[in-house]
Amino acid sequence: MRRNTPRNLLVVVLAALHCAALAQLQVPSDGSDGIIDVSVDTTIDLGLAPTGVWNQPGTGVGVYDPERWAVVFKLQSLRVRDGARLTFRNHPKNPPVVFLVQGDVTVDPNGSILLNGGNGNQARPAEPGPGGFRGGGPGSAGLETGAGFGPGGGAVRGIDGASFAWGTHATQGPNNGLPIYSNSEILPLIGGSGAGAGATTQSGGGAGGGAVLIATGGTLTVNGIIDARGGSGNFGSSDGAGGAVRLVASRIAGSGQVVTSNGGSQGQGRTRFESGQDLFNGSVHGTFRRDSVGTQFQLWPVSSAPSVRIARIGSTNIPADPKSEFSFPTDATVSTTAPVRIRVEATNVPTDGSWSVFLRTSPRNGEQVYVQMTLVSGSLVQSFWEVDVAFPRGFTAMTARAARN
Amino acid sequence: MGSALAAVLALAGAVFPWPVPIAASSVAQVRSGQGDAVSREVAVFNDLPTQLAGDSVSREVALFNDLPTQLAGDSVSREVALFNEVPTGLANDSVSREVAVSSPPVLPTSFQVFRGIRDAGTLASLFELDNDLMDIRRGITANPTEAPITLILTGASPLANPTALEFSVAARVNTVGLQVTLDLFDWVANRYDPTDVTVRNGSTTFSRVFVTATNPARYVRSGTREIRARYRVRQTGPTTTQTWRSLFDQAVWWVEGSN
Repeated sequence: MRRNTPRNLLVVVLAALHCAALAQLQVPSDGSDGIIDVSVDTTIDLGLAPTGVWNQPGTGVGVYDPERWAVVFKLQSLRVRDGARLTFRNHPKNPPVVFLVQGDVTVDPNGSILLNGGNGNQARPAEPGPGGFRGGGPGSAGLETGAGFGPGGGAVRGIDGASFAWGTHATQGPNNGLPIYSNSEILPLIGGSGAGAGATTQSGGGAGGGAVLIATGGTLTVNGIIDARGGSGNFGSSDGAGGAVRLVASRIAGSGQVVTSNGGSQGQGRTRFESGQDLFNGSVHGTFRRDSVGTQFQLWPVSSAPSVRIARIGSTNIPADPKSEFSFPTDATVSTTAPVRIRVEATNVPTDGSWSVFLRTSPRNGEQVYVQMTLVSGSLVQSFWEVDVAFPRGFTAMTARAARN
Repeated sequence: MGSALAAVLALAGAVFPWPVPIAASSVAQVRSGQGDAVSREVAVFNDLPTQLAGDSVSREVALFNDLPTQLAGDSVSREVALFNEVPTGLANDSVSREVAVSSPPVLPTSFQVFRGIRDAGTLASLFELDNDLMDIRRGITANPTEAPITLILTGASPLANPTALEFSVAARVNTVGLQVTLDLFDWVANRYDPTDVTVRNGSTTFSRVFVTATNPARYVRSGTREIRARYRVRQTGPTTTQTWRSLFDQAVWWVEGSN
C-alpha cells in the first residue's frame, strides 16, 4: 500500500487544481440511456432505437432521430474493457452513431469499438458500418457486378472495382472521377462509400466504414482501438473507404489507435479530435484534424448549412426519411427502362452559378451514372434541380450532392 | 630666484601705475613693447562651479504613481469564446440521404411442379437472388415428349398494356447433357407460344436464362392480367448422374408498359 507522503499529496493537489482549471465541456446528455460497460464482446442493435427526437429521454437503446439521421445514446459513462469488442448491428435506415456521455469514456488496452465496413463477398452487397455505404454488388447468375454505393462509391471498370471515397482518393484501381465529399469538421457525420465490385471475378466490393461521434464532458481515454476502416475487397474487388471518428471531450488521452484507413487502396476516412486538453499520444490512421474546444461544441450542422434531398423520382414523392433498402417496397418504383425525371430539393445552396448539384446512381447490378443536374427554379433559400436518368431492371440506389464549383 | 621675480613685479608696477583689468575668465595677457606694454601674467580661479552655472539638478525623489500604467495606456476585456457557425467544410458541399429505387420484377404467385420431384424450396425461394434455392429432381413422364423436370409459374402483371415482357430464370443443373427450355403462355392462342422460346444447354453454374416476348400483349390475360411461363429440363446427352436435377434461385417476369 502506498503512503501519502507530503510530496504525493502535493502532486494530488496540483493535479486537482489543474483539473479545476480545465474548461468543462458541456455535453447535452441526461444520462437516460444509462451506462455502457463492455467486458465481453457485445453488439448493440441500433434497430432497437425508437424513432424520435435526439434529446428526448432514452430507454437504454438510444433514439433514432430521422431529421439528424443518427442514433443518439445519452449515457452516464462508456467503457470498453480489456479484450472486449463493441460492435453494431445497423439500423434499417443505416444512420451513424452518436454517444453523448456525462462522465468518462474509456477504451482499455485491447478493447475495441468497431464500425468497420463489411468485406466484399460473393453473395450480396457488403454491409457498411453505421452511417457508411454498401459495397458494390457481386455478380451472380449472369447478372453484372455493381458499382459501390454512396456519394464516392467505386466504379466497376476493367478487372477491378475501386473504392473512391471520402477523405482522400483511392490510390489504386480505376478512378471514377468523383470528388471527395464532406469535410474535415465531420459535420455532418457520415461514413465512407463502398468499393466497386470486380468485373471479371464477380466479387463484391468492400463496404464503407461507419461514422461515430463520442462526446464527453469528462476524459476520453483511448488505449485500445476505435476502428472505422472500410471493408476489404475479395478476389479482385477493392476496399471500401474509411469512415469517420469524431471525438469531443474536455480531455482526450491514451496511447491507443484510431483507424479510418488500412493504408491500402481504399479512400481514407477522417478523424477529428476536439478537446480542451489533448494528451493523446497514440496513433491515428487516415486523415486527422485536431481542434481545441472550450465549453461548447457544434453537435449538429447549423440550420443555415447547405442541404439537399432527393424529393421525387418520376411521379413518386420520396419520404424525408428514405430507407434505401434493396427489398420491397423500395423508396420508389419505376416500371420502365426509359429515362425518369429525378428532382432534388436544395436548401441554402446558392443558385448564382457558384454551386452545382450532381446525382449519382448505382445499380445493384451495373455501372454507376454520375450526372450534373439542372436548376429549374428557386433561390438560395429553396431551389429545385432536375435530371432525367434511366434505371436498369432491379434495384438502384442514388445520392445527390451539392458542391461549390 | 624669488628676489628676481619680486624685482620684475616691482618694475611692472612702476610702468603701469593703474591696475590691469583682468578678464573674469581665467588669464589676462597684455602685450607690451615699444608701443605697448604687456602685463605680468596673472592666474585667477573662478570659484563658481561650472555645473551650477549651466543647470541645476534637484535631489532625487522617489514617487509611486498609484494609477497603474496599463490602465492608463490601454484596456483589455475579458476573454470571450466564439464559434463560427459556418464551418469551412460545410460551405463546400452537402450530400443527400441515399434513396433506393427499383424497377421491380413481377414475382410468381404460384407454381406447379408438373413433372419432377421438389426436394427443397418454396415459392419464396424464387423471388430473389439470395441462394435460397428450389431444388427439383427429375421425375416420371407420361410420354417421351414431356420433360422430366417441368416447372410452371403463374403471376399477375401490374400493367394492363405491356410494351415489354420478359421471363427470367436464374438456375443451374447438376450435370452436363441437359437442355433447358423457357416458353410463355399465349392467352390469345391459348397455348405455349412456339416462337417466343429460349432453348439452352443446361449450365452447371448459376446463370440467367430468359425469354423475351415479341408481342407482349398476348401473354397478359385480358381482365385478370394473369401471366404464365414454363421451364423444362430434358436430357440431350450423357449425364454424370441418373438423378439429375435443377436448382432455381430466381424465376420472375419483368414487365414495362402502362395501365
